[in-house]
Amino acid sequence: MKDSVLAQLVKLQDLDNMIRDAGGLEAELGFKVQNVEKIRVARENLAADIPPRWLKLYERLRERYGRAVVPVDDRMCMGCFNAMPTGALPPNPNQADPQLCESCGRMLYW
Amino acid sequence: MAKKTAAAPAVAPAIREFLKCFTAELFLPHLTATTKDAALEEMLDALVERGGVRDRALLLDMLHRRESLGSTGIGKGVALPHGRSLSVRELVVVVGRSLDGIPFDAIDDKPVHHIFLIVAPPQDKESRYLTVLGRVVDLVKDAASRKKLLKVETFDEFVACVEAHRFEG
Repeated sequence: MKDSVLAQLVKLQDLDNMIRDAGGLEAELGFKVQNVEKIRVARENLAADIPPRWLKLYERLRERYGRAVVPVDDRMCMGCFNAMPTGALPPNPNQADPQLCESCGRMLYW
Repeated sequence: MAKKTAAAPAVAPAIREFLKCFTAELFLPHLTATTKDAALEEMLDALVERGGVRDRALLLDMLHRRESLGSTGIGKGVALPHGRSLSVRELVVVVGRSLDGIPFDAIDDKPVHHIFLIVAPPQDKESRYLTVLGRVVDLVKDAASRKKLLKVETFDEFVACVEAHRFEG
C-alpha cells in the first residue's frame, strides 16, 4: 500500500536529518558515515514521489523552522508549543492531506 | 588499625548524564536473534514494550532505510544502528549483546556481538544524540572495554563497565 503524504514527508525528514547528522558525525567524532551520496539519491527519489504542493510546503517550512513535521504531545504542537484548539482531533489515517498547526503552520504528527 | 579502602573514583557529571540514556529494561545481554533484521526487531520490541514509541513500523522503516544505505556495523564486533525519528519522544539507547555473534554486513565482515541501537527525536536541540553516539563510539573502540562488555551479565555490571572507561573529552 502506498504511504500517506504525511508518512512520505516524515520519511523525507528522517533522510534530511541523516544527511545533516552525517556531517556532524564525521567532523566531531571521526565516525565516518558511509554513502552520504546514496542517502541524497534516496532523498531525491522519495521527494519525486510526493505531491508537489506538499513538497513545496515542506521545503518552505524546513527553510523557515528547520523542521517541517513536528509531533503533537499532550495536544501541544512541539514546534511552537501552542495548544491545539479544543475541537482538534488526530487526523483519520485515511485522510489524504497532512494537518497543519493553526499557530505556526508546521505539519503535525499525532 | 582500620584498613584503608580506596575511595571509588568519582564519576564525571558528563558520564552520569550519559548513563541516564541507559535503562535496565533496555539492556539485553542475550539476544536470541541470529540475523541483522531479527536483531533490530528484537531490540525494537523491547523499546516498544517499555513505551514511548509512537509508531513501531515507522521507526523500523527508518532503521532499515539507514542500514540499506550502508551498514552501521563499524567493525570489531560492534554495530551502532542509529537515527532520528518522530516515532520516539526522547533519546533512548537499547543495548543488545550476542555472545555467538550476528552477521551484520559489518565493514570487517565479522559477526557483531555488541549492538547499540540509538534513536532520538528530531527536536533534540542540545544535540545530545551526537554526543551520546560519540561516547558510545569512544567506549567500544577501546578493546579492553569491549572485552569487559562481553562478560557483563547484569545492568549494574554494564554501568560499572561504562564508569570504569576513561572517556576522551
